[in-house]
Amino acid sequence: MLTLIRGGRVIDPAHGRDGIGEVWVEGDRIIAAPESRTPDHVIDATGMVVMAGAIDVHSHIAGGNVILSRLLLPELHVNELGDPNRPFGSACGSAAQTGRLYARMGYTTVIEPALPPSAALATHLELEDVPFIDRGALTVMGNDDQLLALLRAGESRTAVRDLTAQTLALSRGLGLKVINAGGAAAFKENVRTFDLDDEVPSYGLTSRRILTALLDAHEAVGVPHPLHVHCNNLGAPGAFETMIETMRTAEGRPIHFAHAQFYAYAAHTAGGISSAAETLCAALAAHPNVTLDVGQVVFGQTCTISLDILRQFSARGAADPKKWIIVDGDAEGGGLVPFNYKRGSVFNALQFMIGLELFLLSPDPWRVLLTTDHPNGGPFTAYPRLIHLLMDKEERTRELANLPSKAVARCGLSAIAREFTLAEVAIMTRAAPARLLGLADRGHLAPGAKADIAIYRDQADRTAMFSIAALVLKDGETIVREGAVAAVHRGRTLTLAPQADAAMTRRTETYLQDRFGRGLDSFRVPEAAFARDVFAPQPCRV
Amino acid sequence: MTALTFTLKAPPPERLDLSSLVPARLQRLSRAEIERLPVGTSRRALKLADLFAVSGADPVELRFEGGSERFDQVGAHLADGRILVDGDVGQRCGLDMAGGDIEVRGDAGPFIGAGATGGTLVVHGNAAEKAGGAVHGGRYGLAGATLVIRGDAGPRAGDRMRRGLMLVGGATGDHAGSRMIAGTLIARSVGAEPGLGMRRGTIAVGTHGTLVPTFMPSGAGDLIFMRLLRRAVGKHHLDLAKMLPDDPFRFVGDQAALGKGEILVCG
Amino acid sequence: MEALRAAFRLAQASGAALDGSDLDGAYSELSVLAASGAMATTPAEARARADLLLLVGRATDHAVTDFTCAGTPPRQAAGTERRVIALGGIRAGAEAMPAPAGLVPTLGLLRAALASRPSARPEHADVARALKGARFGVVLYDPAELGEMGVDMVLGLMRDLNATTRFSSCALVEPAARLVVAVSAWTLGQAPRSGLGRGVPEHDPWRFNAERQVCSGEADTLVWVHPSVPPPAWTRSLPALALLADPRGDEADIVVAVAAPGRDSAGTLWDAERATMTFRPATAPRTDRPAAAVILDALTERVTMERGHPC
Repeated sequence: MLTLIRGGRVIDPAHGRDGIGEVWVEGDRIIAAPESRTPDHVIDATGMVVMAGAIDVHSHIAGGNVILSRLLLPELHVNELGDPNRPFGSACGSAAQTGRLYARMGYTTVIEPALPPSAALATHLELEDVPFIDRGALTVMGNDDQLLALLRAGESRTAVRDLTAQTLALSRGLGLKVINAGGAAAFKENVRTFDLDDEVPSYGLTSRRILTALLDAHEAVGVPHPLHVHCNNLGAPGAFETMIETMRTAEGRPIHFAHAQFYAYAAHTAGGISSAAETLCAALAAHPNVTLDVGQVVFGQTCTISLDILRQFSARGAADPKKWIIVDGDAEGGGLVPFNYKRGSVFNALQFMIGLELFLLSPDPWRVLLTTDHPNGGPFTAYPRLIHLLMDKEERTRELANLPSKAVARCGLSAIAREFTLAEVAIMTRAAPARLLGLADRGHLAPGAKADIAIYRDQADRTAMFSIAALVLKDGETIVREGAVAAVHRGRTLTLAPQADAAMTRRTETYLQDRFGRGLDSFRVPEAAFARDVFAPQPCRV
Repeated sequence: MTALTFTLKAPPPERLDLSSLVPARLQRLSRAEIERLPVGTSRRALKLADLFAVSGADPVELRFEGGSERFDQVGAHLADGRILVDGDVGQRCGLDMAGGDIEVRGDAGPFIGAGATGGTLVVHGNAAEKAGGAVHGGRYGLAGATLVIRGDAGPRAGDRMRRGLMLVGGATGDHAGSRMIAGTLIARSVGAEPGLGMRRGTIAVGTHGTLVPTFMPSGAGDLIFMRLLRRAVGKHHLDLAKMLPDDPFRFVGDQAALGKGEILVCG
Repeated sequence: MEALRAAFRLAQASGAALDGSDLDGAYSELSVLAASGAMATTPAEARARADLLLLVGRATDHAVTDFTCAGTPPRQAAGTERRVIALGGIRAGAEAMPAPAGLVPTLGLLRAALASRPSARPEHADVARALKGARFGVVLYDPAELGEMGVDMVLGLMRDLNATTRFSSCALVEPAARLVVAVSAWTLGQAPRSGLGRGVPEHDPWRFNAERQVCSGEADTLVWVHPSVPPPAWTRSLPALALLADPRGDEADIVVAVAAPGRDSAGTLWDAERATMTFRPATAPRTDRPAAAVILDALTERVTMERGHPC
């Protein structure tokens, strides 16, 4: 079928396009305007904005810890008696609802940032049940015994590369993630704080050493998405210094910092924190190899979910309601601490403002991406409101009027006049995440791209505009119309397929048998385990 | 005005969710709207008028003529007004209620008074498990309301109770006052292992089953508290008030948990 | 996995309630989880790291315990011997710790001993010291045996111990229960004892306990899906369909022989030692048995068709 979208303002920053124009779609792809062909279907986008489908690089939507968060907080997932005709789509907290809520905002690709290799099959089966969107997941390394033992033994870079390739391939990750490198392993040895140069006792390895090894391996494997790093000291006053030191450690290699807001804290002389956003943004300007996502805080009840068990354990006292889970898993495990971000709290208000400050002081919208680290900072459904705040200074002023003045004084946000343009929003939520993930077929509207397209009614109320897309196309199919489901669509799961080394495969088989009493077969994510053809392999960098 | 009255026409064919029948909600509705309120819990989608004949007019005083152990969530989230059930109720009667009065002239199902922060609940018959106890995922059991059960209560009465007064005229099952956070639970007798895991609060009993070894006897003593307690209990249950002496024998526990609770034996 | 997904689809289409075949243990754990959280670990981590294992009650002779007790802990300093204590049970190679007061009260006494409270017993002093001195201790227990209050006590013990050292717990729950809880959580947003009578899932472990619903007459039909466990006696009071891998034929009104995943056909199952899902190819493939999912989906299709017409 040949579809023409016409009359809308087409915003495609990847190709410098911003103006009234046409987008042609045939099958699941965008095509060049054909000569002398009549479209089968015309979408009149007059008064609307046409963008590529949005991409979220960091959102916890599946996996053992997400499952535990539902079991920990059943009271947060009680259903309003709603639409009984959508199989599970209105079930609060379900995979089906996650897919539907993303799709209605015009999101078509979402990355789960914590894929534990030993539970890869379970995570991928859950991701399969997230409808509408394409998914991908980042394989987590950095606390697993196989890697740490290999580093302790002083094995070659090649061996670390081979293990990394092997782990990525086995778990079907789209990228590589490291979470407080060595922190979980150290916590299991009763270490309670862990900095970049602290050692995991029984391995004699510093966090920096583990991180550096993974940076090397990541580059050698040719993973398109930069190493995705959750630094040490999350949430601590002065954590910005850890992040800047970690930037230096990368020595120019591509590196992505997850939920940077949680590190942009300076220790305030009068106690508590003040904003370090300006310093962090200056460091970002000085390190062009660095990208980050913000992990914006949103006021209200949520549950923090992290594989950083050392940090989550130390945060347990702040649990609201007073219940929390720490799992000492095969490598990281997970920590779940419910949290209620309150407007009246100076600390929470600062977190909220520091996030916005990071966006607005950013030297480059291509390198600072929109996330709430769902659900850690708040739910992904807050994105439209956050876009509104970034695009509208007056709206920010109104929001700040409700925050404690002590917090406002410790942050530069109130003085920032910058307002994001729609093109910058499209960069931050489409073009940049696609480029960052190495996904050339999306995040833009040029011929050859996937026909993942979001069309919004252009209106001054940006919250309303981005909350409910007028029309969303996924793989060329209309899946959302005026925010409602038009057709149930099953997306794909994006993976890498790096070549594993035969010798490392044999070593891993032996290692796993010894540790788990099971071999590689037990850990595989075979296509036969899935109801449909679900995986879409992406190439590694050459 | 006479009480707004719901007369049960026949035994309900399924469990009912009666949580919408509270004054705050009914005051805004016409008779016809009330009759159309959904109360079923299956795909039959039963409406109020399918099961009840509606009469009377005062939406602040509600009356159920006839009850059933399938009447769930009677008076849930009640803020004020009065509900009288001439019969049994099912589970979660008075769930999270903040005020008002509920009187059940029959028996009550599990979780009566769970999370209730204010108001008074009276059950003339018996109550099932976890009376004044927490529901799955609920923060607290009874949390400030007064719960009076004239008959017996099931196991785990007052589980995770946070505040308020719970009276049981008869016997409770095992593990009364388990994981109590605070508040007062008084029963004529309790089963085995009362107060297991309790942090703070008071359990006063006539007789009790086996105590866990993490309760320590701390002797009898003249407690001024008992006189105040007797007065408070006397407003709701004279017999139980009479059971309370000035100098009960006191056990302190549960030392497996915080250990700041007490069991007062009034034998 | 596929049978579970299909069962959830059928429940959605027919407005049914769901329950697992043997969730009492799982719910003892889930109920405490939802009340106060948990500290837990995997059998593999216990085996690799635990220098102290406390086996409670039936855990003493549970198969997973054999896995965790094997060898010396490789992640501890060379020469570290693993100390294994069997509370209320006997196991070769383990120290027996009697529990005359009962398992749960004895766990309570250990907590009192750790906090040096007056009710602490002198005979527990050595074990309390060992618990405190463990570098990474693990308690293994069966929540079906301990019940909700026992699980609460174990997890309270974890919170006490982790103030100064590292300790975790490992609940020995039926693998099938683990699988259904996981699939339910992502499908419904809730644990399995949920009803779909009103179109959207409602989680209520009391109301949707299948045995209670059947015995009270609230349920009018039952579909039993389990490759290896026949429906219990309480299901005989109502019309039932049972999907079983090796049926006798008289387990229910209608019995259909279906493929056993991992034996007759490939399938995703729960691996208790690995504490996650795993894909098992068929050990003795046969094609004459339909997958349970196929039968369930056929029912869903029929139900959906009939519900489309007003009755």
